[in-house]
Amino acid sequence: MGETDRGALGSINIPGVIAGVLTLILPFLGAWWILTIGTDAIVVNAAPFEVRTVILGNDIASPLFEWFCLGLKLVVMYLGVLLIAGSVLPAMGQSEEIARILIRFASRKLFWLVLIFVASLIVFITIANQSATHLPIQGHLPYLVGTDRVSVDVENVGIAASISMKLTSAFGVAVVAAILGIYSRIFQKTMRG
Amino acid sequence: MGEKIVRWVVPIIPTLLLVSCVVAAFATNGWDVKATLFAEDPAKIAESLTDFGPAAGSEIFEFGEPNIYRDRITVETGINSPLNIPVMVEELSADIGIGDSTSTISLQEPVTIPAKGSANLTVEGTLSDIQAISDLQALMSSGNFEIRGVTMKIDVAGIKLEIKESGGTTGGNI
Repeated sequence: MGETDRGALGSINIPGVIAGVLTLILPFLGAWWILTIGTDAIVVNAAPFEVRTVILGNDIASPLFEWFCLGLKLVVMYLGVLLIAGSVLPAMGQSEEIARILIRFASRKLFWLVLIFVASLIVFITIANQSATHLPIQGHLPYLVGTDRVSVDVENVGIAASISMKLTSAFGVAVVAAILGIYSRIFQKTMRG
Repeated sequence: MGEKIVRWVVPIIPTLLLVSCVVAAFATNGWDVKATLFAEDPAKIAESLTDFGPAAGSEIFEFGEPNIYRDRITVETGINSPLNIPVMVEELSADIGIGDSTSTISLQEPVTIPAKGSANLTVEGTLSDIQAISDLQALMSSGNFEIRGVTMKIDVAGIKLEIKESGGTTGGNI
């Protein structure tokens, strides 16, 4: 490997490339969070790019929402491409300023997406738990991860079900990609310095 | 490509992608707002989830006429499930009042009803008042027997449903 190759490799933003690849594959890794009521009476598979809800075997779908999720999927893939491009452009002898623009635009978007996703779930669970205090419901929903038992007694009918929530490995990948994305921005500044 | 163009184009593309997808959603559904928002009519979905009554085409439970052999009473019960998933009847018991006496009949073992299907449940018990047996045919024809105190435990994909009905029902169906 010559001096020039080593110099070119040295100007690659490695965290940016890894963040870009992870961001690019993220939409294909499936749900970030799964809610299950009963064994499979109600199942919600949620990620920013898809929310699949199955209630008693009936798939609840909205074409508008599905198309919007497809849009988000494309946007996240676009961010991944920008991160990769911004990370390797200086090594290809292209403008460092363009690389900086690409990294600056793409580096923090996934972080915000992860943050908004988690915040939305917490808000939804909090509202559900607050609403439950006004209803004849015993038990409460766990926050993001965990299992609990909820029961409802109305006149002659009693309903009891376990509720479980879990974050998936895809969510873990999203968090790692988001952190690496932010780090790639800092790394780029140190490379220039 | 100038930096100014990159700076201008890069942030616009995500917005264009999202707007295009929303427009495509409406275009592929004939610009019908309702069809774009819901794949199926929400009313139909709600109906399929909650329609347990006669509108589903048949009663959920169809109690047959009681059969008596010596002091054993057996009631064949048809059960129809409107749900898309299998349902398990874990427990079913009822008190049958014949004249002044009451006997309890119950399901001998759990029964699984297939999705959108039906199953036969056999509930049986022992008559406490032997005198009632001889009068049963007459009482049944006069309608002077009632099913009361029905308790049912159902497992719907992990959701446990317990129904207790203390009121009396004269005749065949609940």
